[in-house]
Amino acid sequence: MKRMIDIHRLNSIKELLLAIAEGNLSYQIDRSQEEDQLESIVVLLNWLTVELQASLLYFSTFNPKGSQSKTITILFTLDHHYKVTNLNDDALTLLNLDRNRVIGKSFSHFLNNQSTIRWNEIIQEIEAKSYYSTNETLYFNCGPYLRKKYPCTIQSVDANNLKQPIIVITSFEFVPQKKLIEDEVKSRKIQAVIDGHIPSNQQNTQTRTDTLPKRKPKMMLSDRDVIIAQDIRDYILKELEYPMLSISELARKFNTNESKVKKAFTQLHNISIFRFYTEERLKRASHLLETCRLPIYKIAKKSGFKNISHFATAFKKYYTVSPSVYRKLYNKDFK
Amino acid sequence: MILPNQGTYSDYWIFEGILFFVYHEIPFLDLKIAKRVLKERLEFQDGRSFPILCETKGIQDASKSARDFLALEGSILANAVAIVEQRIVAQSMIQLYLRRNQPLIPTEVFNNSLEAQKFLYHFLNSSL
Repeated sequence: MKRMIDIHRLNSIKELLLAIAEGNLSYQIDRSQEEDQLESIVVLLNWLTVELQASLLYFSTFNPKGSQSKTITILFTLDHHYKVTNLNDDALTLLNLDRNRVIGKSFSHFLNNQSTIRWNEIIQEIEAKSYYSTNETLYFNCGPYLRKKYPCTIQSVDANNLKQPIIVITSFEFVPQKKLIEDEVKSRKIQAVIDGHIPSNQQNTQTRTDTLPKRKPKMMLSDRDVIIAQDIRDYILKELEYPMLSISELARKFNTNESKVKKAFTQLHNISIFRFYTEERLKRASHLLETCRLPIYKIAKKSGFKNISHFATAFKKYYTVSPSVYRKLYNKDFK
Repeated sequence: MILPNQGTYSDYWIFEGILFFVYHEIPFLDLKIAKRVLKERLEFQDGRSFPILCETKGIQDASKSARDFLALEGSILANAVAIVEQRIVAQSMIQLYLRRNQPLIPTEVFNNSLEAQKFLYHFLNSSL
């Protein structure tokens, strides 16, 4: 039994590595109950895939003009027995499903074990209410080894308006525009072959992407600039309780120049240094206002504001209410 | 005998200047749970800072957003954190978490509670 589990996990690791090699970072491996080094590798691979996804998202901001990716919508409709009555073509493609094998099947059939448990709870919640809507992350099985995670909106449609109540489940996935164009070209060619416009022996599977608009790439940060921008962020967060160094002092501290400090930080974090510093101090202040009974001037001090009126002005500008009103709204001891 | 405070997802108590923090059984720690855990801890601390001993044996897995949130916001009112964890798989998760997120305060992983307390005693003086 143990050996069978190991083989399954090894195959899963292989499939995930192949998916990553293809540039597909949306798959995950289902966790087993094993407590061993192989399971550690499974977890690390799952987490690394998500980290890589986040890193790629950063690089995608380098060409903000023109759409880099397109949102693909996933749509399932279920009947009152929670069986699939329909789903869109994109859902079939993304989840690697065959329509004939999907319609009429219980929706839980497509979820992993963890999400099946949650889905059963959702069914109970749906049945307890006349109208139901929730946002839930569900893991869909994609073949025997891998799963895909989707943030889903699950909504029941009122039975009064229909013969039978139905459940609608929607989600989305970002797909690179380039891949979409390639897929579309490929699909049109296949259709042309099916329709007999192109003999199959003349079908050229090589897709042309050179028709894509060429964009001048924005200047990338050097490795050193990225490290400096990261270190400055960490430094600011560690020193939130103290007044921030000026840009020239930060530049000296990190052995660079002012212009690089400003440019690298803004480019890497999509926010200016001063705005980041102010927002992080205000976030910290909001946590303390919500949870403790310290006087507001002490909270201001703990959040790095020397001057209480400056704190109150900045807080109101960011949260639209004064610190005292915020506290009355969110701190159970002040309601 | 110290009676722990029971939160939604964790138990916590203060002993000899250290905040002991034990997670309940959590199959998947997501952002919503992480926010709740932080809020309850801060309410309990009521503005005071402590070194924190954190037992994570109840956590099976955690989402990236929860990890990022705890690495950043989880340092509020904490002088240092000692994570106590013995499970092989969980230790790998914590290693990756610490390397990737680099928490803002001194954070170490230990096999047992005694070693963790020894580490935290260095941070007692800075408690309020």
